[in-house]
Amino acid sequence: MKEPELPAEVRQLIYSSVPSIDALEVLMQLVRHPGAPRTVAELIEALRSTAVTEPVVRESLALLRTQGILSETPDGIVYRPDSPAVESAIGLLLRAYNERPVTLIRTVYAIADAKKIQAFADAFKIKKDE
Amino acid sequence: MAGLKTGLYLLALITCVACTALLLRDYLRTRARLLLWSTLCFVGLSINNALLFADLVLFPGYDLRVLRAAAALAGMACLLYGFIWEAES
Amino acid sequence: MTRTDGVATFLSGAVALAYLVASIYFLRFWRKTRDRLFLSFSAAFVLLATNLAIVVTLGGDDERTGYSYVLRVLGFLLILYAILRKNVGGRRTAR
Repeated sequence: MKEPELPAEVRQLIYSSVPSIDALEVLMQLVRHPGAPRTVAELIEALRSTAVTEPVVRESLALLRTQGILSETPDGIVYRPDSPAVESAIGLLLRAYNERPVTLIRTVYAIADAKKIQAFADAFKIKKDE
Repeated sequence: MAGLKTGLYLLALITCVACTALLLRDYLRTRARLLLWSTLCFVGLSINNALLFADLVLFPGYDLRVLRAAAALAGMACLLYGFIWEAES
Repeated sequence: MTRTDGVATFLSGAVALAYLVASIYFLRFWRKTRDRLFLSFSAAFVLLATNLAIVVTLGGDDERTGYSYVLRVLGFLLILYAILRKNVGGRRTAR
């Protein structure tokens, strides 16, 4: 049963910013309430029911910050894409989360696996060019 | 002819040692567990190749087959363990 | 057949199977990542497995085992080739 893949933008977004299902949950927490700053403590509390642990929340937030998806304000963390491309990709990701959750979860796992396996092949590159 | 055979045995040994070194380097950098098991695999294969060279070229009187196979098997067991547990989610 | 022969043969059989299973995993990894390095490693380990099977089956005294070692050399050359290609694949996006 071959289902169509998610759009390339979403896959690229997952590759760069969503290393796990836990990270996806953290991102969704922010995106669902755009413009409303949440403190780290609030996010941890909101995610308690999904079994996402505090260290993972912090790691995910740190990655999202470096990817230009959120920014920190005195009131807390807020979803703030730093480019229209990022905004568009997040929009498609949110749509996938709502309409094709199984495919999305499968894709997140598949990309995480591919990264793990790619590490073996990348070890043989003598000069790394990131 | 003997020189060629020796060269070929050394080629295999050098290849395995190179793989070991490259995988070890990346493991130390990223601590990815798959790379740990892969490194151990090529350690085993390197030992296997070194023993093969020793067995056939250096000490023709001795029979190192059991040791050679044991080294290769230990290495491959590590690789398969890594593939089964660390290569997928 | 001495006891040592038996143990050596048993272990060699296990190694050959391990080479084959690794080869299949490498093939799977190639499908997941499209990285040709895995394809080379997969072929290399099949060659190693084949060589080992031939050498053990024919026995050390058979003159054909000498030819079988060509497979082994090819296997390691394939691995070297894969590593080389990974590092000199300049213009195309090296993946």
